Amino acid sequence: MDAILALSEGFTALLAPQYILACLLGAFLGTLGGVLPGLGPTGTMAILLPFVLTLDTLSALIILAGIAYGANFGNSTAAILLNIPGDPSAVPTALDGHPLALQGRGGPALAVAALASFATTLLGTLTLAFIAPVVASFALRVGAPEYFGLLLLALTIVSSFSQGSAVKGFLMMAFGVALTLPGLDPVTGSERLTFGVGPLIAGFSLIPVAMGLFAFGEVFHNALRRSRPDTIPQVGKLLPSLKELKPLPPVVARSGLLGFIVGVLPGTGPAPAAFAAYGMESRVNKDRDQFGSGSFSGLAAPESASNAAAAGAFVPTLTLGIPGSAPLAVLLGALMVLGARPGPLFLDEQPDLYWAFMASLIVASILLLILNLPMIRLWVKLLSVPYPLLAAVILVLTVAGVYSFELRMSDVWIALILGIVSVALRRGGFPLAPIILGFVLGEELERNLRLTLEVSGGSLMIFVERVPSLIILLGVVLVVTYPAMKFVYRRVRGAPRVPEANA
Amino acid sequence: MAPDDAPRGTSRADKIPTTNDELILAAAFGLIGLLFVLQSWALGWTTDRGLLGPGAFPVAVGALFTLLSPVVFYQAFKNRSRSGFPVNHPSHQEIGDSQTHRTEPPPNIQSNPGTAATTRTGSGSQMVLCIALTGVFVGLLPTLGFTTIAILFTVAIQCLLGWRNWKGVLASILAAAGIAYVFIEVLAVPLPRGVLF
Repeated sequence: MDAILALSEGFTALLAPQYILACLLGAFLGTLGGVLPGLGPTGTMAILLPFVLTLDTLSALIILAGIAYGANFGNSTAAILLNIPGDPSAVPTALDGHPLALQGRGGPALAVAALASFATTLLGTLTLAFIAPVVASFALRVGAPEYFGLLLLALTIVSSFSQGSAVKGFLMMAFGVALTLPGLDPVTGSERLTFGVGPLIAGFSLIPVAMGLFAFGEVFHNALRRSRPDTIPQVGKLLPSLKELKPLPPVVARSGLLGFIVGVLPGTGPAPAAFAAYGMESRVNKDRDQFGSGSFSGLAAPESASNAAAAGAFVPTLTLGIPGSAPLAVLLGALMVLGARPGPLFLDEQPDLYWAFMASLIVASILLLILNLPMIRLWVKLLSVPYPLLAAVILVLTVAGVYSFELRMSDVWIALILGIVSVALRRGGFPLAPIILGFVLGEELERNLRLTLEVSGGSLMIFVERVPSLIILLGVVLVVTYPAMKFVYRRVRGAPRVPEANA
Repeated sequence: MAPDDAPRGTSRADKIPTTNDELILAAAFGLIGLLFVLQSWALGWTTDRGLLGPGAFPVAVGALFTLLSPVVFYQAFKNRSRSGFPVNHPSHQEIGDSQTHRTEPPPNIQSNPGTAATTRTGSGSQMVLCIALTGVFVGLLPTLGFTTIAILFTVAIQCLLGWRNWKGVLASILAAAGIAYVFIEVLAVPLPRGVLF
């Protein structure tokens, strides 16, 4: 009852025009970033960070969260019409969405994607609003050893389950953590690992790192790999028939629940949720024979799951300060720059901010349905914007944005170098998500390790003497050894060995 | 939920072929790791109070690099010798946020009956020139000023990436001038003005 009252107060706080505008802007920009293939939520957030960081905390939070939600709505458009998933979570959407578009059912496919996304975003957000305070109350009992373990768990999950080889994931996580090391030691304040390069004394900031990896990197990489669709299938009539809609509610419910649970796990996010839901429905759905050739159930499942996961990912982000996905790592980093610190104390210390934010997510869900259903033809038109213009705008915005943050040319050079590194990593099949998570969490990881050892007088036994810490560390061991266990299991079963991938 | 439960062809259990980039990167990360270990070692493992010093954590991170790099190198080398086709083979679709997935459906699912035709327009030389042009843009920014160099840069990128007509030139000039106006006049960011202004 208290929570409902607090949420209603959140809606009241949200009535200020700047917050409504922030909701609209976040939803619009997120959808735009999702619709335009190759940008995605992380890239969109990175490009907009310099603007967002000039705002107050709530407005910044609303815009960034709107982008995270909106990109999940928008990425289905290019996936369905062009078979070009703008984001990993839209890959399973394309499997059934694109065949529907080729059959002249592009409009109903886009409508089903938008409706499924809306239903699970709204339900996921309501669940998040009421579950987060419960999780936070447990998290309040977490000490430095447990927090260190949780950070390590999040980093190992995102590394182990990122696309491609787990070893590459761990290497990229270490790379992200390594980027936090040059500069001043967080405890003693002494200079370290600057290699005699003056600008490194200030360390790496979030903006050049995020914009270099995700904005410069994306454009450079697209210059190598982009392809242009020869035609865009017609959208046609929008609304699906009742017969087509009838089997969908159970699919949306099942996939939404699964997606939310996957999303709550730190370091996962929408993509694994979408794949998991598609995989589940391809086994249990009574229309599974139609999957892959244009099934509305096959389309609704990943869309429901990815959007529920986008909401679920906020649970660890807000209650533990551990981002649930790469875009939320950027969001968390931005909040740290603004002076807010999501974590166990976030709800206690800033309840007004929390509930107004929850209210804004609900408003954003409704705005996203409006933007993605009646206005879908506008987004389809955007698919024909010439890429050279888009690339030039992104590059100029990135240079101006990085420079404007601290007015340092060295930051622009750092971003450019990281953009080149990003292209090399993409070409080599190294995942980028662990880098940004490692970068955002690296300093906290070191700080909590040193704090723990200070408390224990330098003894590492503290990590195993405390039961919650021991359980978390066992989880870390499980996640780290999972790829090896899978390999051994396959060998024992005598199944044909599947080679490790490199994505 | 592990991606292994995802449809076959979308999980990391599927082999995606490799390029020389992997080998070079693995070696580079190994060297960076060694450099980190060597540099951090001198910083001290402990403080005067016997607590963890500024060098301990960087040594651990450097050691992780040094341990993992040979594994990645070995995997890349093994994959390359097993299958030679490059990572941008058409069976792989590059998607946003730098994740690579195969997009074939699960085994019990029929293949897509067709797909919208696309024309490949990107190339390696375009990428190198794009990076070089951006380097020139950043290098000349303090001298020529943001507005001038941004307009020249956007026109150059348009021409490089293939939109070479008066509409493209006009759109790029308007876009660059618009961005400069927003940053300088609306957001009051003191972007470099250069020698011309």
